[in-house]
This record gives sequence, C-alpha cells and structure tokens, in this order.
Amino acid sequence: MIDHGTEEASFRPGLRSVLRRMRLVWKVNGLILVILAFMLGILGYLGTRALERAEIDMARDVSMVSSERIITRLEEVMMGHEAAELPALVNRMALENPAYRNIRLIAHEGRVVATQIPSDTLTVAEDLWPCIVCHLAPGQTPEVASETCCEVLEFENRERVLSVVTPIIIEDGCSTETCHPGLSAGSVLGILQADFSLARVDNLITQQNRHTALAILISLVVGMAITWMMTERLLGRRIRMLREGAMRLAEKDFSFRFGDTTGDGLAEVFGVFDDMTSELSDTLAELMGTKEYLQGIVENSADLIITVGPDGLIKSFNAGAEQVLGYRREEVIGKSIEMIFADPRDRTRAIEQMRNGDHVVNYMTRFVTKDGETRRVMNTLSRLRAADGTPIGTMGISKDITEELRLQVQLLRSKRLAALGQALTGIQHSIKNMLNVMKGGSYMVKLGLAKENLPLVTEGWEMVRTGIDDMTEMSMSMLDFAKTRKLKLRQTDLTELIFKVHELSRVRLQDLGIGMDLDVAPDIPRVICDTEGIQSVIMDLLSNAMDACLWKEYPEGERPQLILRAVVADQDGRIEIQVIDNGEGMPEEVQERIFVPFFSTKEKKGTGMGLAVVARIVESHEGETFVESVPGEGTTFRVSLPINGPGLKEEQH
Amino acid sequence: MPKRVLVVDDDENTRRFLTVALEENGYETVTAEDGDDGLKKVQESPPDLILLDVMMPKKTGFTLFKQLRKTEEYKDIPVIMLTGVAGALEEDEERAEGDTMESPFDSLRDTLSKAITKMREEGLVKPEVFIDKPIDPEDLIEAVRGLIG
Repeated sequence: MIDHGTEEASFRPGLRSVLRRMRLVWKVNGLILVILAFMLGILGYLGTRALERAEIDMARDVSMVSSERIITRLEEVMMGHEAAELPALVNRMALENPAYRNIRLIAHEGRVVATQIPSDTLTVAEDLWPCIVCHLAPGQTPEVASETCCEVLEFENRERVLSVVTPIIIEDGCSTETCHPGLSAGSVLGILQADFSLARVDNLITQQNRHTALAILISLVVGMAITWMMTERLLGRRIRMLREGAMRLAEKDFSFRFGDTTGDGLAEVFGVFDDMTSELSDTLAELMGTKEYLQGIVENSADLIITVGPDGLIKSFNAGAEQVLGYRREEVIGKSIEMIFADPRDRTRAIEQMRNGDHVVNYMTRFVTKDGETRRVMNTLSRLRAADGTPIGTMGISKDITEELRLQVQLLRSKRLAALGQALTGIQHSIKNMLNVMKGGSYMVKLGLAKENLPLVTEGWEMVRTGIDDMTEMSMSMLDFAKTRKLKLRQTDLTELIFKVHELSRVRLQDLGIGMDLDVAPDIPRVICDTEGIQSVIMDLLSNAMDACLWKEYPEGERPQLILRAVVADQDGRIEIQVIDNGEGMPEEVQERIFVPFFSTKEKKGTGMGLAVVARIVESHEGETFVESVPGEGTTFRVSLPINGPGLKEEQH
Repeated sequence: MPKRVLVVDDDENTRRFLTVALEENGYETVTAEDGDDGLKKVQESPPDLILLDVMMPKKTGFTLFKQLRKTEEYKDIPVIMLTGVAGALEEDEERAEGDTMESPFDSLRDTLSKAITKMREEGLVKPEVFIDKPIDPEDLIEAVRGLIG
C-alpha cells in the first residue's frame, strides 16, 4: 500500500526544485537578453559616431578644398577688380555642389560681402561671432587666424551643418596699400564661411539607428525564443508526458511507466508517479485476487447461493444451485425467483418475516428442479444492502437436505427395528427362564407320579405354577405398558412420599445388607404429580439400584450403599429426584438401551419392563430421565419433574 | 462310590429340580447359590462335575469358571454351563474364524461370546458342554453321563 504521507513529502520538494530551476532559467535568460540589447545599443551608438565622424571629416576635406578653390577664384576676381562679380560668383560656386547649404564672404571689418542665401535673419554679430573671434579680432595671433576651422552647427529646426571657415590672408607681393589700405601682408582680409549640409550624414545615422534597434529587437525575440525552447525542453514536454500518464492511468492502463532517469526534480515526480502506478497496479491485482477468492467461495460452495434484485428477479446463481436445481445460470438470471419455489407463498412469508430484521434463518421450504423434482431445502434469507443502507435485494443460502431427511427417516426406522429386536430378545430370555422352571417342575411331577411320590408331585406342581404366575405377571406388565390411562394429578409432598418409599423398602434393604441415605432438601415444594405413578418410579429405580449392588463383588472395606435425594433443580420450576448406587455400573452400550422395553441384563430376574415404564411415567409428567454410570463404580439416575405438573393433556401410561 | 456333582444356580427352583434329577440318576449333589458359595464348595471338596449357571449376582458363573480353569488343582473338573444363549453361542463359535458379525440385540449373548473368545486367547479350556435353557432334565443327565459316566 502507498504510504501517502511520505510520498507526498518527497513529491513536493521535487516539484519545488523544478519550479526554482524554471524561475532561474527565466532570470538568467532575461539578464543575458538585457545585456545583449545594451551591448547592441552601445555598438550601434559607437558605429553611428564613427560614421558621423568619417562623414564629417570627409565633408570637411571636401569643403576645405572647395573653399580653397572659391578663394582662388575670389582672388582672380579681386585681382581683376571686378568686385561686383563677387555675389554672382559665390552663387555659382554654391550651386556647383548641392551639399552647400550656404556660402558667405565676410570682410575683415565684419561686413557680409556676399552670401548665397540673402539672410536677414542672421546678424553678423551673432552668426559670425565665432569666426570673428578667431580671425578678425585685433591682436589675434597670425597662426591661429590663418587656420581653417570647422564646426558643426545645429539650427532650431534640428538641421545640422558643417560650417567651414577659411581665412583669406593677404599674401606677400600684393600691393596692399592700394587694394587694402591699412593692412599688411599676412593679415586676415576676410573669411569665407561655407556651410556644408549634414542632412545626408543625419539620414545615414537615422538609418543606422533603425538597424541597431531592429538588431536589438531581433536578438530579444530570438533570446526569448531560445528561453522558451529551453523551458519547453526542460518541463513542457515532460508535463505533457505527465498528463498522458495520468490519462492512461484514468483509462486503467497500469502498464504505463516514465522510466525517467535524468535525475532532476521532475524525475523524482515521475518516479513517484511510477511508484504510485505500480502500487495501484498491485492494489488492483490484490483487489481482483480478493474478488476472485470471494467469487470462488460463492461459486464453489455446495450450498445454493442465489441473489435476487428488489424486483424479485434472479441476479446471480452459483454452481451449487446449478448442480441441485439442474438449471444453467443463463436460463434463470433475469427470471422471477418464484419459478424455483414449489410454493411461492413460502418466499412471500419469509420476506414478510424479514420486516423485523435482515435475516430469516433456517426455514424449511421446497424447491423444484428443472426436471420437476421437489427438493427439500433449509433456507436462510438475508437482505442485501448498499453501503448507504438502501436495500438492493436479497440473498438466499440454501442447503439441500432431501437426502439428509431421507437418511433420518431411515435411521429412525432402523432404530425402531433395533428397539424391537432388543425387546424381542428380552421377552425371549424372560420366557426361557419361566419355561425352565416349568419344565423342571413338570419333570418332577412326572417323576413323582411314576414313583407315586406325592410330595414330589406337589413340589413340581408348585414350580409349574410359579412359572405360570411369572408369565401372567409379565403379560400384565406388557398390557400395562400398552395401556392408556389418565394421570391422577394432585399436590404431592415429596418428602412424605420419599419417607414412605423408604419405609416400604426397609425390609428388603436389610435382607440384602444394603445401606440407604435419605437426602431431601428442606425447601422442596409440593409438586403436582400422579403420586402413585411417581412412587412406582422411585420404587423401580431403588429396586434397580439394589440389583446393581447385588451383582457387584465389593472389595474389602466397601459396602453396598444407596442415596435417595430430592433437590430443587437449577432449572426454573423443576425438582429433581436422584437415586445413586455404588453398584456394578453399566457400560455405555447398556446405558443406551436401558429404557427399551423388555431389555434386561438379568436373565432370570425381572421382565425388562421396569425402566421402560419409569421413562414413560416421567415423560407423561413432561419430565426427563437421565442416567450416568461408570462400570464398577456405580450409577446415578436423575428424574427431573416440573413443580407445577404437566400441561393438561391425556397421556399414555 | 457315587460321583459328586456341584450345582451352582441362584434360582432355588432350578437348583431343586436339577438336584432331584441328578439324585434320581444316582449322583451325589452339592448346591451353591452364587459364585462365591460355589468356590467355597469346590475348595471344601472338589466335585467330579460342576453344573454352572452363567448369570448370578455377586460372582457370575463365568467369573467362577475362569477362576477354576486358572487354578491348577481344579482346572480339569468338567463344567456344564447353563445359559439361555447356549445355542447362539455355538453359532458364534462356528463363525469365530471368519465373519465376526454379532447379534446386535442380545447383550447377554454378546458378553458371553466375547468372554469365551478372550478365554481361548488366554489358552484356557472352554466349558465342556453348554446346555440351553429351558433345561430338559433328561438331556442334562445324558450330558452328565457322557462326561463322568
């Protein structure tokens, strides 16, 4: 059996460890993804910066070259004193390259000489301030002033430009005094500012950023997919297995096993599951075994075991029933149970009796076999109840006692025959003894007559008469035994009766040298009985006891002794008379026959009727006679009588 | 010198007519009324023959018989047993070797039959003659003559 407590205890940590591992996988993967995204971001940013720098450098180089060219052209124009041409030149130059956002020529005193886009939004002071600081401020060192400088400017509309400022230096040999009074060679005459549009660069950067973002997104998606796949591999597949296992189990397929040996927490769960399945399988096998065992008991019982539903239709019919009734179960299941009863009212009565309880035990009824033969059965009917107590039918266990009853009748018959045989033997012995005396007597008569010896004739004749008398007595007692008479019931003082019997036996007891003790309980009540009948019972028992003493050889120091006792029996409402002797006793086979008429162990004495008559009188009082005897030690006869006498009915005596 | 016969029977009438019959035929008789008495009479003066009744109080004829057969001095005295089941006993004797079927109703015959079988097993000589009751005195005398002349 499964020990649920410990299994559950080991099952839970297993599951917890799996869940812990799951959370850990998600955490680690999340962290890796964040780091990956961050690094992709940084890489993107650095790439963008590098691109920007390269683009700007290139733009600067281009711009510087262009600026030199512009300045060279400017110088040519200026040399030809065609100052009026300057704005047009600037415009033309600017148009040569669409990347130019603006080109301005600014004189040293800060005056805008020419501009590609006439600008009234830009003031010299604000717009050109940085250039002026470096190139046009008085006292500016020539090295700094003569260098080209580049700067990225951002407008309010977020448009960026690379502003390249190239100083225009007065060269040696130029008659500055003429052209540029007050200025010496090497000083800054003015500046050319070329704004180179960075829109292309910005577009590139935007594009690059988009790519970076896409890369991050893709890597995140891929990372999540990988994590999902990992957890799926770790858990999902096996959870599906678990579900499948549970479903197979629900379908009563106990052969399913995971056999997982990966050793992780879930494997423990699978192990527990496999164990549980094994246990379930074993328990089921055990249950099936028990079921088969119980079915076997019912099936193999020689008794008829039949169950019936509440509708009175047969539900089960065991092999014993098939055997006795001759039906196959398929023939009777679903049919009314009444078909097997010789008288269906027997069943109705039993069911009615069952109202007071759930059983009717051992009632006799008759079943009819398929062949129409009647079988006597001892039936026990029990109500079947469901677990909640609702009646669901009845079960009958019946024993075929037809044969038993037949044997009983046979036994009774043979017992009667044996009793008759014993009686006849007894009669034969008695008659033989009487004939013996008569034959002897007649011999003497014959002899006396031949010798004319009258005394011998008389003596012989007396003997013949004795035999005739004995025979008469026997035939009288036989008649007596067969005769019916009414008991003369009256209140009888048993103590008085016992003393009377003692008085009557005293002389004979003295003659035979037998002692007798009287033991009458002081609380003996008056008993309703046929006084004369009970007196003869006690007399017969005493006479029997005296004979038992006569037939025994007493050892030295022991003498024949009788006890006549009367006590109130343990049993309510009865008294008991006991006659106890220390005579020869009887073996069991004799004890069994002593109440049979004419049975005698004494060849010449008595008629064999004494104890048979005793038993008959006691029975007519609704009393009982018992005998206990040990050969060589003595015998006790006990007569139990009801104090209030027998019920009012006529009895044979 | 007449032969002496001991008659052992508890019934007075039987003793009487047996005595008359024996004396009439020239035998001397002694009587005893039970087994004890019988033994006493044998010890006083051993008779030439004993007529022994089986069923007697105190000491049965059979007990006395066995006692005599076991005593060296008396074991050769011939015994005629008087019983109501003599015929049946003979039947039992005849089939003792094979079928041991007994009469189921007669306890006396049963007891005697067993006792005789037991005696034979002990190597004792069974009674010379069984005489059935009712006894015919003339048959008895014939049997007595056959034994002691």
